[in-house]
Amino acid sequence: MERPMSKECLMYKEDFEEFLARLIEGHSIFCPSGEDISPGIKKVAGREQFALHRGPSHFSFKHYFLPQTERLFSFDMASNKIDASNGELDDNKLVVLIGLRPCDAMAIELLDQVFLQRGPEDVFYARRRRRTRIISFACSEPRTTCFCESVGCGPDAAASADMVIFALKDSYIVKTITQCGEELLNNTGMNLDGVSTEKLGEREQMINESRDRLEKVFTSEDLNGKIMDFEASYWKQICQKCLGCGICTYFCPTCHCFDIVDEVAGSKGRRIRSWDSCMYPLFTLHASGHNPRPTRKERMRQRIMHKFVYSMEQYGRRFCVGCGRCVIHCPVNLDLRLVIKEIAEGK
Amino acid sequence: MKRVESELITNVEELLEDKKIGFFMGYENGSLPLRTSPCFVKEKEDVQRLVWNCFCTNNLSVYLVSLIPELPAGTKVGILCKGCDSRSLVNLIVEKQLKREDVLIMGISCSGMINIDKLTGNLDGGRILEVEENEEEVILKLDTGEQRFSRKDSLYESCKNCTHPTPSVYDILIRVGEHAPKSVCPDPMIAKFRQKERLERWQIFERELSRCVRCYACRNACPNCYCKECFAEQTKPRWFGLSNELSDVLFYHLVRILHQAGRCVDCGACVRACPEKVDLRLFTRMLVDEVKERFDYEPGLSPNDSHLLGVFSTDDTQEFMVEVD
Amino acid sequence: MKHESNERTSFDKSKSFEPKIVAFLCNWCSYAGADLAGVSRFQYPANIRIIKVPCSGRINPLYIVKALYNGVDGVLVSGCHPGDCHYISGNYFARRKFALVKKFLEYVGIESERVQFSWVSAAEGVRFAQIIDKLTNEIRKLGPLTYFRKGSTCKGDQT
Repeated sequence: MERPMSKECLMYKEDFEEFLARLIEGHSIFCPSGEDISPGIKKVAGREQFALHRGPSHFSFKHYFLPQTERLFSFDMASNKIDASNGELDDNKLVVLIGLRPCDAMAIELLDQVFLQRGPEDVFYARRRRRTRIISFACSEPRTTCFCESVGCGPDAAASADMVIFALKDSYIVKTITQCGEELLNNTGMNLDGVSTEKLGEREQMINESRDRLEKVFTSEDLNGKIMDFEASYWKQICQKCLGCGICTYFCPTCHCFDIVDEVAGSKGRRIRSWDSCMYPLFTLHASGHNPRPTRKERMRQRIMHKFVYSMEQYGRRFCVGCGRCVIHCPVNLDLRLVIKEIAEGK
Repeated sequence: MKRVESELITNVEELLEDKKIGFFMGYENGSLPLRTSPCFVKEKEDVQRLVWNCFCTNNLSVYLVSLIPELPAGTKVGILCKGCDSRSLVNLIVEKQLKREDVLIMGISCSGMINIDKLTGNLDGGRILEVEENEEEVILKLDTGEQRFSRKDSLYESCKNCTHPTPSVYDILIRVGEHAPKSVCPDPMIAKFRQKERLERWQIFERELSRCVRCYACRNACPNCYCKECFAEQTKPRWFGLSNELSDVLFYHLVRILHQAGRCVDCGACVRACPEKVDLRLFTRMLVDEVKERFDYEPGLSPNDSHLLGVFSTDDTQEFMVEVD
Repeated sequence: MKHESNERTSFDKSKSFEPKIVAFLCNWCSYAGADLAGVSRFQYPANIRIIKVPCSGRINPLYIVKALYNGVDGVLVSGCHPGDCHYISGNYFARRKFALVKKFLEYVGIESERVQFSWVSAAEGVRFAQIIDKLTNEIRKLGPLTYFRKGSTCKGDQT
């Protein structure tokens, strides 16, 4: 995407509060809800509902663009009618996503490749995406599970963001990346100063510290060249601990596979699509009963090679942003970073 | 803990050397602080990776049913078993998924596993450098200082009410203190839940499970869930929808939990695996209590038991059946 | 304002509710009992939909949950009296399962009247009619089961 506009200005705490208040007033704002009873990406009604997480939020923003279950249309075979209206999507009001970390912003850039840029456009994704503006926050406190630098992202990457905010000690640097970001800032009617060199230094220090804190279990060099071999024997070793659950795929901000089914009762029904996971035995089960990926070995190989090899061939990008959610939640602590390292060392 | 670890390592070394086992399943340090990961040892030089501490939470019995057929015939598998893991394993023998002679059970009398969320919730971003534990406390050494946690208060709920901390069946036992079986039945949590109004019970059931993302980690972490084809994945017919609508989610959990009746050993593996921290034990444990009360049966205590629902008594009570005057 | 001529509108909503009840009846006793009730012209509510199964021991708890999910308001499973099972002991196995299913569904908050088990022999036409009468009345009082039916509860990702 082109980034013609890049402007930086400074906000103090009170400016930032004002900025948030004006944003909330004029737009639909979505942000990660706190670690409450039902985390998710939720619409914010007031300032108090916005809180910034340390590192990436519990769920990624995939939840917003690709809901776990989405009705495509409903039908009535008796009257031969199809209803494809969708109240949520027909609303073209601007939506602002706020509180993403750079990794999540990069994940959206990758999803754009799949659903917008290569091949046919996905209507549902496109409508949500086009009405959406993204405000990301540079990462000052990566978690022990973060490895964004190793996969070509980073604590200050802008990626799909229209605006990036750097939260310094007692102030904020707001950097508009795109025209849309610029407009968003202008529309709040805030009168803001430029950024002093002192503040720029503070930012540089913050980002450098952030970089230093990042784990480097493997480096981007480990991913160069032919990194994985479909026929290799190591897949059998790697998958040994895997339980075959769908946590890594469901929490991954870039995993986007889905299944489409018709739910019919009598003459009425609806067609829905729901997330699917390559870890599940049903994922590639053919109607004949044959399954080309019958065991965990093939399923795990698919997941890893899809992220690091097939996506390179297809989109020229690796579909991992290093957010570490799969590392955090894996019930047997099967760490993707170690898997990559093992493969890289074994080659 | 160091004594236990060295005892464990010596034992496994000897067993591998004497070819009494061809494979050993234990725990190694994980990639994250306060985590361990299952460790599969085939060669003697890998034995040193084995660890034992209060974070060895996985129930390793879950791997046995799929693993054993993959190994060369006649390979005996050694497995490190806490009390609950051994009961899962015994239940697999009872259900004829496993032969007793295929496994060598290295039992360890367990003092309970620590719920790391209870520790990491209070760290204020401090990084963990080192962990120590003794019988009373878990001590975290952070870059910001030291924090001590009472072991008793930080246990998993399933461990707090553990009835058999020492394995019910074992070939070798590593002792860590004395842990006699005790009866905590019914679980106070279940008794309390029973007293609530019907509507409130349903609302809690809904609220807990509304967090479910259908990742099936609860099923896959459970040693009892060994079905080659789970009802959730059957397509002829497909029993329920794929969506994350509450009715679909509840269907999955209701049937899965009912399928555990008389088999669940309350190891807590499902709760630990859940990324959304759904309190599944609030429901699975009810059946454990009900089975104990009604049939005086606890699964997993003896390989010679019969499966609770595979036998009957003509004296079984039937007060719940419809009667008309 | 009352429209006494129009009976339909003066009905209380709960009174006009007619529950749907699925009855899984074993081939050898309960189904024959239902048959006897029919040929003997015993009156009982027409709310049940009978599904004939070989034996009460054939019932998987999944079928009960599935019936509720598919939109019925109550489920009855009925088999031969203990000792009379055509397959010697199928109903004894069933009894253990049913005890746990019934207690568990009640525990999570499904009204216990909605899931019922009974023994009805081939000679008990009157008893069968009485049981259906009792069940239907109880479930009618409870009203429709709305909270578990497929599509009744939607979990949205966004609000």
